[in-house]
Amino acid sequence: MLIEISHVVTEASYSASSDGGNGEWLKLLPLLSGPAYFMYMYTKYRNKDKRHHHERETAAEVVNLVASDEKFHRITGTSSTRVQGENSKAVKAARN
Amino acid sequence: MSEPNAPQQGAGAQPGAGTPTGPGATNVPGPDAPFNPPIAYGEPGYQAPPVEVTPPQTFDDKTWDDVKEARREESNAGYAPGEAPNVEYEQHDGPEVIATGNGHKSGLIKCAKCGSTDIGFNVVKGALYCNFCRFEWQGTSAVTAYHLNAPIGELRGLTIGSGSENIVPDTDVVVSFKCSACGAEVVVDTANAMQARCHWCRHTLSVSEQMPNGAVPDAILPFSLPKEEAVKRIQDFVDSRKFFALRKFKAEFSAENVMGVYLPYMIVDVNARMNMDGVGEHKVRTYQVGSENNRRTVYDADQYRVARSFELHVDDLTLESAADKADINVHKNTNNIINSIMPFDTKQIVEFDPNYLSGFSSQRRDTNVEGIAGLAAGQAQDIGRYQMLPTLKHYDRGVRWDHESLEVVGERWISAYLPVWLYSYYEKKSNGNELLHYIAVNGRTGETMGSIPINMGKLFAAAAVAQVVGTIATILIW
Repeated sequence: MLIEISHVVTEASYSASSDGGNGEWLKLLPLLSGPAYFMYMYTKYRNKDKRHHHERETAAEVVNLVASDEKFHRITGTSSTRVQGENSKAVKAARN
Repeated sequence: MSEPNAPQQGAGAQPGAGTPTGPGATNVPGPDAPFNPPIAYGEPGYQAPPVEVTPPQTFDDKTWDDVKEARREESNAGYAPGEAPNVEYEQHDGPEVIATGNGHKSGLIKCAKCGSTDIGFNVVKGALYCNFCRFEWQGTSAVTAYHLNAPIGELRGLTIGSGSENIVPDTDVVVSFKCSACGAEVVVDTANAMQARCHWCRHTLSVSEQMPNGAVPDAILPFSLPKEEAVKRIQDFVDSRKFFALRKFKAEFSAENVMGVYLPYMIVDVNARMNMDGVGEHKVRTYQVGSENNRRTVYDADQYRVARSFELHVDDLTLESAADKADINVHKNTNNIINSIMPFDTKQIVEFDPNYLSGFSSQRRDTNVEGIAGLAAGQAQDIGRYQMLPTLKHYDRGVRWDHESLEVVGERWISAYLPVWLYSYYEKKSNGNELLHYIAVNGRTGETMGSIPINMGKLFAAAAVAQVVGTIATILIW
């Protein structure tokens, strides 16, 4: 049931945005209230997503930084909002 | 090792043992000669074999590689007794060890003022005290005592505390020793405790000798958060999550049952060299394209080749070193809860004294440095990646690192007991699955996190109600 509702909302948002992106699809958001409430409460009680953020919470110092930034190309007309494969905030060695 | 232009006669040559005439000259008896067993070194009549010396003319038409090859063969030929040179090795593969054991032997630890062994730990004052004469004293900072504040940039190779050395599998976990007060045999199971009271003379005996079983660490971070405060934080945590909590849990929950536990961790300083390169994008224009009915937003962006090279000094990276707590799998256990209450104020660690464990339990380390060195390097790389974020602000469309490398130049490992207030609840589900829920409070900072067993039927019902309300709202506003 939850998947069906989210599917309906997603479909509606696509069709609404193609109609000019006037935000009509936002009116369908309350259809997600059940799954959203479930996920919020489940996370609040079980905290499965919690972990030590070693990448931010560990003291560290950078010394002798050598930086290089060289412009080599301009892309035009891309609909992507981010660079493809962005990983500058990737965390690869978390315990979970 | 003889040089190519060394004198013809080696220092250890025996004049009476035959005269060498050049490379390969040996005293091999003829096929008909009677066999005389060799006389062993140290027996009467023993003669050292002749030393073979390569004459310098041999190298007249040789290259430097040939010379080195001859040197290598000579060095592999072995030395007669007493001829081996005294070699001082500048580098070695083994770790440099910081002696943190201080020669302590297990047994009585006495009050410096009255000699009593009845010593306790005052969490509020952070001081050890004598239960007999009330004398109080503070532990010595391990950072100062073991020079752990030496610059990380000067670290080379592997340095470990003597309490972090590899665990020898056959080393007994249950330690028995004689009470030095009355001579009675006392047994301590170091898996759970580091002290025991002598049944005969009532003295407290402590395990403070470092053994290769992971029980005695290099340092300890004493509790500073009192039990009353931990109980209050756990109670508040549960109170805000009671509505959907399992009914049985609510009936059985009592925050007073929280346990103070010293868990084993490794504290790691890393001196590394890191190199990264990739592509960053900076947005220069946003505009819309397409017909009136099919308009979409597109972007122009400059692409940059981005490279960063730097030395990374990671200070007190902290890793679990008890295998059962390090196994973090949110589908099978709630160890992530204990993981999430880090970091600790590890600069406040003190020299290990079993009396800090008085009234608390402890868990033995069962993981070696080698077992988690890869994880430490990986986490250091994560830290390095995040340290670079302030230098990437120009790239508002993000950066993709195509290549990354981290070379560990030096690292320093210290094992320590860190303090955790732990409440646990064992849930056996109706489908037979089991789950141990933890609520953990950092024994220093008070950071609290937990896992509460859920009454899933009640939560599904509430979600269904929310869904109905949401659907009605959608119909009304559409």
